[in-house]
Amino acid sequence: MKDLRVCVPSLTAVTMDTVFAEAAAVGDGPSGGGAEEIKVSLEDVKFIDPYGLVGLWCVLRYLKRRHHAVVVIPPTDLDLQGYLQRMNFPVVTARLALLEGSVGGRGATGPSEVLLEMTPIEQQADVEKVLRDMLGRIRRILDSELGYGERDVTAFSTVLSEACTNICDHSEDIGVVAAQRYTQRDGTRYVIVGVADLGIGIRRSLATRYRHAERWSHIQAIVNALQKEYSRHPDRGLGLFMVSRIVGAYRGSLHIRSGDARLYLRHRAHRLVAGPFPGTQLAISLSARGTQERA
Amino acid sequence: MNTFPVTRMKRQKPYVVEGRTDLLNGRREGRELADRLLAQLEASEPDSILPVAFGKVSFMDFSCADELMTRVLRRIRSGELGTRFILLQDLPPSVEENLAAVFEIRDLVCPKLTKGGKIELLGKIGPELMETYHLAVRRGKITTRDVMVIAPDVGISAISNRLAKLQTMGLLVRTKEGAPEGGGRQFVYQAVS
Repeated sequence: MKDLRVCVPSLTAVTMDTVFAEAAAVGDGPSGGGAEEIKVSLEDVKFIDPYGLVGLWCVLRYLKRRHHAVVVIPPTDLDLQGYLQRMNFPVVTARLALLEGSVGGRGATGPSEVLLEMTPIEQQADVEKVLRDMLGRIRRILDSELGYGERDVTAFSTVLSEACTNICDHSEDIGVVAAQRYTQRDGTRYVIVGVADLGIGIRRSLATRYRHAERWSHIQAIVNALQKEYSRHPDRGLGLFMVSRIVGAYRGSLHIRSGDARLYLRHRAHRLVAGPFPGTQLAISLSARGTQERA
Repeated sequence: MNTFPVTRMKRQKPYVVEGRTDLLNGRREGRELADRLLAQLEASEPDSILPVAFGKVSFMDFSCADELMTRVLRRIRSGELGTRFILLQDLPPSVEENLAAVFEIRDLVCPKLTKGGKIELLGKIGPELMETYHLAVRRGKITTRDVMVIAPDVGISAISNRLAKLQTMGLLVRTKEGAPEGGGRQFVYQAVS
């Protein structure tokens, strides 16, 4: 049995590059379901954000295409086990991997900061379901707290909707989404949304319209995809542009990983080299603007 | 160009935007909504304004808003629909937010009816054009001479350009009327409101 031990303690947009690269290396070979089994060990992992969750879904799916079976060893951390349970990880990955043991963990205590559990996006109707779930939860938060307004709800929902719709419109694959709210020690609240697919990636998607796109580097393709009206379809291409605009307005950040590159956008663009891995993965972070800024 | 309504523009019964559910998302849904609205506009009588009501929509994402409004407003601006226009109403804040973003990016503008019954403009428009449009709303019809009252330092050709620009934007409709003081002819503009 092959082994992929995830050694990074925290799975986020920054650290997942390593996991993708290791998965690509260990899964190298013909796809279509080999004879071997592979064990993915998460024992050392202490923290996983929504991007880490959707990234793991991609890794398991990628490995499943290349192996007879994938076995996941869950984290030893009981809180993290409880979080995986709460985020639907066992259910969403059930067809991809066998989870060894249980992930009962300590379960949920206190009010949930989960905005959206891992949710598959297979068709446009799924996007609507995601929106409905998310809107309901944000509105419940609105009822009990200050700090979010109707504009924030619209912005969060728009980001989520545009990112998920891109899966249906561009990836030629299915995808998954998750969102979680966090509260920093100083009380600042922010949301992280993770959206991922294992499809054709941004460069090949743009190449369906721009023949020369196949000659672009992956990072150039990502940069172009963020430009207004740069799309595989004429007179479109505003989805990622809008996402980046909202992220800017909310003092947030955006990571877009595709091919062998990751673009990190916070105030300005940072172009980073990532290991080659199929599909497109997005991490979006948005801070609540606060009532005083909206006034 | 949208020209020469014979009578004052008539406001039609509101057209209610309705999707499969109250959450409208994606370009496909936007296209379907645009097609239905355009069919309604085409079927409506000339020299009319169709109020488009969003009261049954709780959320419309950017792509859906873009597909719906850009298609419809571009058709109106092209003149293909003659003197048939739209007016937005019953806009929930979330819908208005994404419509405003679409209008800004696409360089579009559209009148909206506020809850208080006032006419405002949603989208990208300069202060002079806005002021001229509101003058037309208040008066119903205006000529270049009327605009000179609010912009005394602006030349007549610049005012004519301003009115022509508002007409191109689908916010004014030009009617042809004889000049009262003999000779030539003067254009009278009606507000789309």
